[in-house]
Amino acid sequence: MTTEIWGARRGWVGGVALLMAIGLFKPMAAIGGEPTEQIRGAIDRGLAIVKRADLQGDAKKAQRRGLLRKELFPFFNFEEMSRRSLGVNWKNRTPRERREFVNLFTDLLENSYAGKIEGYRGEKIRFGKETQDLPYAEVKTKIVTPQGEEFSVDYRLLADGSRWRVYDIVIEGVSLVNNYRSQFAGILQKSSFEEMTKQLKETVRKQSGA
Amino acid sequence: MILSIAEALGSALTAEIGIMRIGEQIDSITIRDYKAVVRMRIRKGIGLQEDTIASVRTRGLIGDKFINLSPGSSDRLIPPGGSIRETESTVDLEGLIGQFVHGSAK
Repeated sequence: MTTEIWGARRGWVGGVALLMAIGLFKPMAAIGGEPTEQIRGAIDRGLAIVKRADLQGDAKKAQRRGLLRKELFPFFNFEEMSRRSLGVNWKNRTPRERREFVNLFTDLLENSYAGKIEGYRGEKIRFGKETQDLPYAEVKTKIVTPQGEEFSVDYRLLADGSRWRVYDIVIEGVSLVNNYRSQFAGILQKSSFEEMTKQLKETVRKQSGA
Repeated sequence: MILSIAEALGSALTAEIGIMRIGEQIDSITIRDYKAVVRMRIRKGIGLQEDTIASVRTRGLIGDKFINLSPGSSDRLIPPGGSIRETESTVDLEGLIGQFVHGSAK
């Protein structure tokens, strides 16, 4: 009985493999699937912007950032990042406080990610394994510097309608969300939410070079 | 929870939130797909949110390893027998590196 079931299953898998081989069937969760393509597209667009000859230098910063915001940042779910980064402290906040926090933290993340991508110096990006467990997915990448150093950068994504959006970036094993979660928890242990918001504003102001 | 293979294989692991120990028994550590799968018991009455993050940390620089659980914001709790999706691998001086790579909130 068991062998028969296995036999049948093998037959089915064989059929699918054959369809794939002749290109009639596209597997959803294979390496290089939708989440990987989305990350690849986002990085390509981001790099295309920072490499543009007419967008170099500080004078073009506003224009460059504006384009990054339009082309690259829709792939990031900053609201989810904010909520997760505040962690357990999200619960006691009023809707207004949450909105204010999401706006500020989005600015902070946008500035810091834009700064990183503007620092691009010819690194290669290698795509690794993709895993999907709906509505979640992870895309592993490696950044290889021209000197041959490697850094792992893993993108964690959430399905959002028909697209995937990043809710955490894990660099060399360190989660962005957890990094901020412990920093915010530390600040909130000693001072108030208002105080933390003030500090965030100050950080964003400094980042913007104002 | 699933962690990368190079870690979590000590026998003295405990799970903590802040300084509170909430799980002391590692049921098993097995290897699946080149990763360590850690099964542990969490004290009754402690609800872990779906976006709880589990990280392997070391007490001091050469101390015991423990699993730090940082509570999340989700309304959904991990059901009994469920698993923690968000994990971090062991990193030397993780806090400092984190602030360096992602930026500081201060």
